[in-house]
This record gives sequence, C-alpha cells and structure tokens, in this order.
Amino acid sequence: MDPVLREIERSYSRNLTRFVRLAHAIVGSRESAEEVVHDAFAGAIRDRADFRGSGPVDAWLWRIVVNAARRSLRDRARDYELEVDAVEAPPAPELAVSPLVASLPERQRLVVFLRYYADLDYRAIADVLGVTVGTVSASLAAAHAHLRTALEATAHG
Amino acid sequence: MVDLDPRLVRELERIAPAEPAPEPRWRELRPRHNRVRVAAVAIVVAAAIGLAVPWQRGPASLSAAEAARVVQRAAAALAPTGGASGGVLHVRMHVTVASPYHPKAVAWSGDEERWTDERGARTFRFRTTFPNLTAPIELGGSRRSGAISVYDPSTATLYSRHRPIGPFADPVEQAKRELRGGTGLTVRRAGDTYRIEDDRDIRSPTVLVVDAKTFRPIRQISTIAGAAPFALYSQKPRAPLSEEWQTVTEYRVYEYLSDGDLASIRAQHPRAKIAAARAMPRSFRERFQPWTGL
Repeated sequence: MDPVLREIERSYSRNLTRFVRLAHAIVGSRESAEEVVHDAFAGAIRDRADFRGSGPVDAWLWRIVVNAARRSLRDRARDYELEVDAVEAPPAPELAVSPLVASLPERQRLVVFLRYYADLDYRAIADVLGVTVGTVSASLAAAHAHLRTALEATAHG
Repeated sequence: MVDLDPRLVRELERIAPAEPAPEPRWRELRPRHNRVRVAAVAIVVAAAIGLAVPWQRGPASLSAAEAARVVQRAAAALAPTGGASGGVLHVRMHVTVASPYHPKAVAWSGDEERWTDERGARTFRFRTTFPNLTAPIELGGSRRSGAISVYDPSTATLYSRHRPIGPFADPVEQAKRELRGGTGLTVRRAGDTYRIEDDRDIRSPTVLVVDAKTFRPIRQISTIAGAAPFALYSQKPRAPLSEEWQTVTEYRVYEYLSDGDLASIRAQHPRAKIAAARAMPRSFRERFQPWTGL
C-alpha cells in the first residue's frame, strides 16, 4: 500500500466519528453527513496523487471533507430552487445550523466547527482553511463577540 | 474545549449531537489491487447473459492521442444531436443486474425505456419492469427536485411524492460524466468496437463499449460495491449473496427528440387524477415500493 493511502486509511479509522460530526454540522443531517464523508474519502483516494506532501495528510482530508459538505449543501439549495413539475410545494431544506450559529460569516462558522467537532488546534485549522494562525485566532474571537452580542440582545429583547 | 464559550458549546451540541460512531465503510473505499479480478468478473457476467466478449484476447490500449480522439468522438455521440430543439433524450435499453462472482445470481434482467428532458427542466419518464411485475410500470418526475410520480393505469391516477428519494442509477449520466473527465481513461480497440475503461472511481469501475464507426454507445458495464440492489436480489433467495454487483446495460435506442411532453408523465396522462403517494392503495404500492421508495 502506498504511504499516502496508508495515511488516509489511518485517518479514516481514527477520525471517522469526527469527520461525520463536522459534516453533520455543515449539511444539517447525520445521514447526509455519512454519505458526504464517504464520497469525500472516495475522492481523496482517487485523487491522492494530487496530495503534494506540503502539509499533513490529515489537514488535506479535513479540507476535502469540509469542501464536500459545503458542496452538498449548495447542491441541495439549488435543487430546491429549481424544483419543477411538482403537484405541491416540497418542504424547504432544513436549516443546516441553528440561527445563532448560522448568522456567523462562513469562515468564522467553519473555524468554530473545526475547533469543536474536529478538535483541531489553531495550526491545524489554519492548514485546513489555508489561512494563517492569526486569522484563525481572530475568527474565533470575532465569532465569540458576535455570539455574545446576539445572546445578550436575545436576553434583553 | 476550554476556549469556546459554554453557551456556544451548548448551541453546537444541539446542531450536531455526539452520536455513536458510524459503521466504517473502508472496505468499499479501498482501491482494488487485483485488476485482473475485475476484468475476469466482467467476462463472467457478460458470458452469463450470452454477450459476445470481444476483449477476451486482451487488446492493447491505444496511444494517448488516439484514446483522446475516441473519447472526444464518443462524448459527441452521447450529446444532443438536434440542438435546442432536440433536448429530450430517448433511450431504450436492456439492463441486467448480476453478481460478478456467481453467474446464476441474476438479480434482475429487463427492458427499460427512458425519456429525459435535458434542456433545464430535467423532467423524466421511465417505463420499466421490476422483478415482481408482469407488466411495465411508468414513473416520472423531476431530476432536479427528486419529485416523483407513479402512474396507476387501473385507476388512471398519478401518485406523487416530493421528498427526494436519492438519485436513480443513470448509465447515460454516468457515461457522460466519465467521458467529460477525459483523462485517466483506457481505450482499447476490440473488433468493431472501442472499449473505454474507467477505473478512476474505485467504487465503480466502468466499461463503455462504443461502435468504432459511429461511436454510438453499445454496451456499458458498471460495478458497484455494497448492497444497493439487495431488494432486487432478495427476490431470488436461493442465489448466493454478493458484495459486488455488475449492471450491464445494452443500448437498443439512443436518440434525441424534440417533444418535451415525452419526458413529462403528467403531459402523457393529462386526464389522470393527482393524489399524494401516501394515498396509494396498499395493493398497488406493494408491487414496486422496494425499488422506488414511494
């Protein structure tokens, strides 16, 4: 087995629960999340020659799963918009995340998700999102500030 | 998680609660190293259903330039031929789903006819058979939304459901996707045909056989891992179980038509009553439910 494939398998066995939980948070459904992760790994194995070895395989895999989940969410939203030939309107896709977290800008939301569900440190989150550690730190601080304000407004509203 | 506000953590727990670990599916993912086995099982299935096997002698693959030309021509042969006015793809095919390991384990073999409007609406209509049906059944709906209806001729009723039921296996879409990808395909000349082999997706290696003169599709062999057609297979409990399945699609008609109504089940049955799928009589539902999810 080639070394990248071995790393992919190792990461799959070690982190499957966390991959699925992160995807669940992004797409809003546990069942879809399992499919997203499965498809993401099929793609990673198929395209493993694209892995340049410039960072850890884990970060590359987290990035693939995040992108696959975001793509899945976009596809579902598009399918809903283009619904045709229906006798009655279909139910709207479920909101992927609760309104409070949904109100965060996407990068902040992903940083929070990667910190909590993936349990990644700032360096690893930076690798996954292709940003600096400082940006990760600033994004988390901004997310907290945003949520504090929102929660206080709710409490006083 | 010391650096996250506890209120945020509570919110995150609601969004994606911790649940038991999912069933690992690495076995479906891992690459197959034994490609000879894949080729061999393709031959077994083809032989089992009485097909010619033109590549048994193992023809050499074409050069990259020749292969690219064949792929390009094959892709063009799958594309609409009538421009904007010919956007309804009409395909008549014979489909066989079988275990590659057990030649007698044919889960399903039957004819299917599909009309798909590729001009944006993505409406579709199928006339197909299932193992426990003596007559074809007609399904239709929208590929975009997943909305699906089934026509009951005995009561002239269209039963509809709008919750997406997942994608249908669509050999044509699969072939187009593979040819669009272009690189990484192996092309071999085999008699009067070209074999375009795609094993880039380890879960579903596919062979598309096209006519060497017209480049039109003749046959497609795809392999899937897992128990997707298990509902079909369970109709023959005496056959051995299989973890892999092959679908052989023989194309009998492949053409583009201009009449969009052909792809609309509602247009084909303008006087049909419309009812929700949940109102479907049990006797009618039980005939096809395992395969449609309706």
